[in-house]
Amino acid sequence: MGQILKIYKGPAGSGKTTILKDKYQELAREVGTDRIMVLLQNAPSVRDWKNNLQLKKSGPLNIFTFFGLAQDQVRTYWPEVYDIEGLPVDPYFMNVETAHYIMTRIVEQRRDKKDYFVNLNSTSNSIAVQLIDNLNQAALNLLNMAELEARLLDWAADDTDKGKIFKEAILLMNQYRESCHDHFVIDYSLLIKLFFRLLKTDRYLKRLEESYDYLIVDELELTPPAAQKLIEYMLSVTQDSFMAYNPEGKINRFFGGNPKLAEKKFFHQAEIEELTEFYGASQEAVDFAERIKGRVKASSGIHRSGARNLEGSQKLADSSEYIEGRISSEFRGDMLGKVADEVIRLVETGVEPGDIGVIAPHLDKVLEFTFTEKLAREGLDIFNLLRSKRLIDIPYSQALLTLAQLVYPAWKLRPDFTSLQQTFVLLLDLDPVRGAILAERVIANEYRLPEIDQQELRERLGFKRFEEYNKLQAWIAEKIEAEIEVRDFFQQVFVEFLAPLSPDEEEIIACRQIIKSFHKFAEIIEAYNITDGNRIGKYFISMINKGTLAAEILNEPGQKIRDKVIVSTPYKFITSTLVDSVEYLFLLDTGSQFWFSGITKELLNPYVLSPQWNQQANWDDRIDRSLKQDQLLDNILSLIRKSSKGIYLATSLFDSRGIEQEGELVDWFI
Amino acid sequence: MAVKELEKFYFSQTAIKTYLTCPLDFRSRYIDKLIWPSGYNKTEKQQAQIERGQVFHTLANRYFLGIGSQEKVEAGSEARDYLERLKDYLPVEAGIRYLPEYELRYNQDGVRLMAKFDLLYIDSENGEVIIYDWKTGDNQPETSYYQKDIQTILYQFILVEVGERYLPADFKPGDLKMIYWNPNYPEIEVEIEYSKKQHQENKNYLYNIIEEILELEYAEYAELTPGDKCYRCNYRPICEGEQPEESPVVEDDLDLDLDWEMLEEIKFYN
Ligand code: SF4
Repeated sequence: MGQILKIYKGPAGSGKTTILKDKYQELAREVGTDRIMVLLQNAPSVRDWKNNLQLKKSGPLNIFTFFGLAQDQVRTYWPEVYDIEGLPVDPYFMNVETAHYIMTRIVEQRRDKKDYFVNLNSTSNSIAVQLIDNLNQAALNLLNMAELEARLLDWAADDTDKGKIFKEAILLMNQYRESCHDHFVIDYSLLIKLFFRLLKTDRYLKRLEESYDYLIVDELELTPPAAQKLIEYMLSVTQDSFMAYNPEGKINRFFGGNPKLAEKKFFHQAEIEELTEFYGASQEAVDFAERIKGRVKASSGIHRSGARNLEGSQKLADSSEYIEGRISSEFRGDMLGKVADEVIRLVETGVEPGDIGVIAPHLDKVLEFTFTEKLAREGLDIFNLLRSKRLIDIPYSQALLTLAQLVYPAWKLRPDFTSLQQTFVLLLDLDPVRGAILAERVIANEYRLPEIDQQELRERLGFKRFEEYNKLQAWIAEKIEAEIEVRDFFQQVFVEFLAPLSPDEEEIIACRQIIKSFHKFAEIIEAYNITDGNRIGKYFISMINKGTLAAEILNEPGQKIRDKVIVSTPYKFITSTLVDSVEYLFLLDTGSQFWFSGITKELLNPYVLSPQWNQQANWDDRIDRSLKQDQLLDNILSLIRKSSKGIYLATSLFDSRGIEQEGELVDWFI
Repeated sequence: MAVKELEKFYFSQTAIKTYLTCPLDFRSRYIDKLIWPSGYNKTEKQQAQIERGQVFHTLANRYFLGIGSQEKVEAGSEARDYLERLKDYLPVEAGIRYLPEYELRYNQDGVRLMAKFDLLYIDSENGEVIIYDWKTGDNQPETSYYQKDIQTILYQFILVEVGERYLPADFKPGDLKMIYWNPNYPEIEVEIEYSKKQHQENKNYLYNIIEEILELEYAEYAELTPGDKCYRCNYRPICEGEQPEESPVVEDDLDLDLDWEMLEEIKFYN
């Protein structure tokens, strides 16, 4: 039924999203918002669209991510999804942390019998994460379990040990999937499967047809095959469609996004409008990126040794003015010091700290320490895009967890000294020294708040907040006594202790993230009838400590970093919404092999699960290497395009462990 | 959210009602975003009552969307009874347009308003338009209460202003009714008429309130606190450092979870 399919094609900053937004508003004024479906790639974009509409009147806003739409529809049409009696009113949607927990249990139970994964050294948790990712990847690529198994066995080829492990993996994935069905608990992969169950019925398709006239899709290049299939359905039931496509946006290729397939499916039926003007990056950056691309691509074939492969192609040489500087040293420490000096010099010449990005493939402690130290001396701060968002780094959420550990001694988790100290500083308004004295006393008293009389408090601890201390002590004792449920506990701490201290928005969100997440967690555990005693609390806390609990919402899009030098890994930098672009980019450790991040793990290989996988081929080092190189090239190009004035390349002969660095990235810039 | 961000905020009936009850409560919820989880300070019985209300709204939505097989769902006997009573009360008929759980937004003259209707009932042939709202509380619904309720004022105003696309061709405000119905009292229908005059009055009223709120500085909210509603308020630990007494279930509790959902970000990968 599709009349027009128009695709706006252009690089980042070429105004595609603005065109789509304008189109949406124009159509909304004509036919109403309810007749238009908008598909976006992530939740912040959805929020951004919804918040910035300039419509005087609007009906329901059908602006979704693929996942959000699937969730909404499976929930609404739930009685039509399963053909069995005894459904709960709504399904239970499981977040990724809970999915990992359930899968970890399954893997552990099996491993306890010592017959599965015998030759695998990975932890059960890491195996569980890979199994869940396999299911997710399979779902995104519309593979059923039999196909998933076939692909994994393809990958194993003649390696019988590997084949055995994959068969075991499949059995556990099936067991997990069955348990989800049994309890009506829906994780990401099952959600997609159930959504397609709906999409395959005429009744549902008819409803879609009656509901929508138009379809708008932004960032088509990031859509996985499953979302593309949905788009195909929508094209068959709507009138006109408008989409945006960034030919350079290949960055989440191995997280399911499939630009090649999108081109193949939609371009031939579309009117394509090329947008050549762009606003983000500078022309110099784009030209330079093009030259790098041309150079790497010109060296044909699969590259085994970078230097040799680039021999035939033209060197960057004279056309490399975009390279602002090259820093090299024998030892890494020296190199880091020099980079820090150059950063300081740039700031002295008037460059804003937030306009400088320092990118390394592996952010280790040495790097962070050197930078923090050296820059601090000049009054400069760094902003580590990787580490900024851990819930545990926010004193309020830390206090929430610290108190939980004090109230639930049976978890056998002990808050560390710093957590205790900071919690007392926050709750009792102490200075750090007195917070530390109190923390020591609590540790010495086996993690119970000691009896302290008023005089002692005044004399030794020197704080006046006698009543506050007593209140806290009595409160903890009361909660231990009452054996209060954890889910209620978190919210009580928040309401009764933390909220009255006037937390700011980020702190509130962090606390709520914990409370909310635990609620979700507890809901699923209940649905599964798991009585794990201490394990749940323990698992939950360790998840937060490891930073696995999603905390991305802490930084809303729009709050850009201006006053701190940005330190990041390539992927985080490219995908972060906190930085649009910087003026100067430092690429560190260009000799390091870490730049070539592999896409495979022992049990996970997104490539063999993608539609591009050629079933006649065998997975071998050549393919692996070629994919790694493509990925690196995409990363480098995206990095360069996120800069506007120039890049610095920094390398050392030896890495921090004293091993010679021989990665080939260095050769790309010769 | 900073006070200035309120300019982008769409005021719902819950938000306006909160402001009218206690401006400080409004500030805590919508500016400081201190939103309590819905179970806070509720007894098990109250919690069950809230859940029953939510389940009923879900079942009613599916009923009007024409989703079959509701009998497969284990909704609890009470919620199921509610649904049966609803079916008796309002059988789905051909020729009528039913828009359940329908959201409309108004954004003019710096005033942003939103309404989520439990059901819009549009009979184009007979020119009849009804806004239905389901209540599930224990109390018998009173016309005099709902007549002046901000929900009535807001919902009727928004539908007339924004709904033209859905309304019959020669629709006039006088053709609109709002009906509150509670399955606990299936015989009682609280029906509120509308008129052009009322529409103008509602507009003035809403504009005044929104203007008043948007002009307030952060500190001024505290100065406006009534002080006599604190004993059962969830913000008592903050305002007065004391626990609230058991708080009653209000229908608005049904909406609170929405604020929670909006914050949830789903992460797919590691
Ligand atoms: S405790 Fe009193 S002043 Fe504070 S928000 Fe509640 S009603 Fe308002």
